[in-house]
Amino acid sequence: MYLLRIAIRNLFRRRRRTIVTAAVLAIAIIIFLVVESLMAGLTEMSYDNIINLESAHLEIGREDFFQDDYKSKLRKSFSLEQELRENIRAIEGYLSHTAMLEFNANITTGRDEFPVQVRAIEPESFQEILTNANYIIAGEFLSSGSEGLVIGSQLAEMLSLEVGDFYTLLFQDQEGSFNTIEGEIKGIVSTPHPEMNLSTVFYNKEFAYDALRVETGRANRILIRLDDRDRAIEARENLLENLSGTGFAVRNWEDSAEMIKAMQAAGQIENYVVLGLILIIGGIGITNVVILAALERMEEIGMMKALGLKEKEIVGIFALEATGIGLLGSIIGCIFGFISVALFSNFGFDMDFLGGTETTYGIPIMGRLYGGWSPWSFGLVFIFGIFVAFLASLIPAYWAARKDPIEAIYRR
Amino acid sequence: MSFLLKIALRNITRNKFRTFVSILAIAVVVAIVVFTRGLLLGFSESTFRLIVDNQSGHVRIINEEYKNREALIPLDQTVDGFRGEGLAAMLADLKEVTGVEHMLPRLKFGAIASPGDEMITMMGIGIDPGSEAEYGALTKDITAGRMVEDGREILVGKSLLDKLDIELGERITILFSDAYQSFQGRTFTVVGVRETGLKMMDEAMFYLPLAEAQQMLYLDDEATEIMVFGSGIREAEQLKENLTDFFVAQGADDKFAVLAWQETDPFIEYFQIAVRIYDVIYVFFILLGSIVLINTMIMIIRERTAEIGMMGALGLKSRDILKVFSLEGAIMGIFGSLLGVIPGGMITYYFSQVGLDYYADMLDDMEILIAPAIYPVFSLENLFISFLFGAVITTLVSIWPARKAAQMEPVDALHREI
Repeated sequence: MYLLRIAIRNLFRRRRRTIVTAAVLAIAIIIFLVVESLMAGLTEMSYDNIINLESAHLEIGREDFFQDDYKSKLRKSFSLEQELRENIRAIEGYLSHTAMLEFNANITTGRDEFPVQVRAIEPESFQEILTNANYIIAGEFLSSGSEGLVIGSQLAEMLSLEVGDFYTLLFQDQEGSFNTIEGEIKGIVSTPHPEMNLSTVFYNKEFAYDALRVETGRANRILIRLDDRDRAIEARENLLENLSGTGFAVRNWEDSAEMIKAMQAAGQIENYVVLGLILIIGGIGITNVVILAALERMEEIGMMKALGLKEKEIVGIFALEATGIGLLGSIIGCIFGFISVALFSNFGFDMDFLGGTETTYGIPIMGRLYGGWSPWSFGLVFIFGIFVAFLASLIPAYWAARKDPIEAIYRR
Repeated sequence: MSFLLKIALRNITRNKFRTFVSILAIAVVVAIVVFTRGLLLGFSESTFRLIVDNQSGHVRIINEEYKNREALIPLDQTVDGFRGEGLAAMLADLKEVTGVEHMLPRLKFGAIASPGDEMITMMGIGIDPGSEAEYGALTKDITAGRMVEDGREILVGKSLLDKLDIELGERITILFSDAYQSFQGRTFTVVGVRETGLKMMDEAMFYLPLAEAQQMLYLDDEATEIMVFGSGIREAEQLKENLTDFFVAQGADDKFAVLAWQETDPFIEYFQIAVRIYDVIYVFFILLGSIVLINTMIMIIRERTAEIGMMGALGLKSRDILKVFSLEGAIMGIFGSLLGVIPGGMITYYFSQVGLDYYADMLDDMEILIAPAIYPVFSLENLFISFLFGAVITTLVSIWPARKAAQMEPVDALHREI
């Protein structure tokens, strides 16, 4: 306790030096926290987009359906047997499910042609699972009993299509022969998921069976919504177990987000490297501070030794002083980090400067990005900052404590 | 000056341990800067080269209207001569423009193949085998077989070949719409395989002789773009200007867009902004390291207050005192920067041989041309610039505490015993 008092008093002797050195640690912490928040926000937004607009929480398809996505998907349809439906309903946290037929086609409007993925859906149940219908900007979304195609805003712009225009979908049916679906554009959606705005179109399943030569009632992809996305991992395991031997594969939303996870992992490595580098500089700064303090206080060290303080206790005084700088840096860093993250997560910032609507490079996000919170990273850097300070002080503290008391007092 | 330098040098050796720590701090930050710059240079160079070699050339010439509709791979907005006189004549004219070294006319079109019963969409690119071989970017990634020569031969991306489920030497029927929108098919022999390691290209692209493509699409003597190469990437702006002038002189500047490589993809622009931001980060980093130097100097000055008073009393002007102390700081900074360049250079050299590819996974689904592994650039220029960064910034920084020493009144300074 006595040592602590000395250390705290020492901390205030050269205030500017203490603050400047603590500032280096604080900067490392602030940068880390903001980048962490940015990445958490990015990931969260991507997850939301994938869950709400692309693949829901769980999806079921035949094993070969997910394996090679470019091969004829219509061959991989199945009928929803009673048993399968019961299995789906039995999932813990089950809310609802929808079945769809997915296939590749080329959309043409006269002179231009563009490859798209067609999702032939059941409009009613689909809207319970995915929210694409909420983003309609022209016309209306599909409803049961009415035919028509819903396309994304970017596709509409590129092909200069409007509601009511004619389109042709060219595709290979289940037997492999070329066939077409023709009709009018019914609606245009503009979602925060860029892929849905360009290369995915929606069609009413009940009208698709004939042209696709698929038996009525069959589907090749089932999307399931649960009450909580964290249940998906366990639910997938259970469902796989119940369906084993039937040739069905089950994926959860995390499987659809592999690229996001890889990106996040790469970003995290980078962030830790940057944190590490700045902390190294902070560590050297602290080593330097301890050396300077020891040099300044040679006489004091000699005096303390003469008064009977052990080497260990002197090391303790210096280490405590350095830890104090670390604590100060961590506190300042976390406070400013907290403020920045709070601003960022409340107000967000527009990602339009990243190319806006045209180019998103395959990342499923658009629009405004809000920072995410990750409380444990606050705890982590807080402790880390203090620890680095403590560690960096040990060697110079030992060096200082080793000084011969007589020589130290006599130095001048 | 040499007298002041002598004082500064002597002062530095007065407390070697303290000096060493300051030098070490500077050395560490400079080493980090060397490596980061090398990494970023490596990343941008390889990425830019990919874009230049495969997508844009140094300057890209396309039809003005093609620009906004490129994703559709349209065939009705082509490059067919300044006034429609044909591609060959246009190329011959362009060859005379100053700075033009290579020209690669390319004809891109959408195609599908359905081996068995799947439908696979691809992009066909008609190329001029002669000029492509001369430039070499396309030929160097051929891993099996040979370049297309003429007739119905194709060079196919490795993953596309797997998707099509065929082997080198086998034949495949490709379906496409010609310039008049009629659907056609033609059978080709695979004579070569190209592997770049980039999914975007390997999985979707095949190359065929330009003459064959022109003939089957009914686009005689036309192409969708011309990639123009000058002597180097840095001369691209100049080359663009020369070409633009030439197009204006021909009265064809409305019809065609002449784009320097960095204008062809907005990604490059962001990248270049990022590179500039990094310059600020280096400065910031070195400043952080300089805090150690400042702390040390403040202490030195405090320690030597009496000495400063004495120097003043002996007739040294405050400018000289400023010089003594900033020289001391500058020497530490310069020495530290020099010392930092060595480990920084060594690490950079090591990775320039081994490469870094920790982010390759995420590129699978990305729709950008990015090099799958980074090989940091080890260059003396980088070492020198990083050294300069360190030396200049630390020297400037050390003036600040030195000024305090210079501003002291000799009488007060002498009086203030510690």
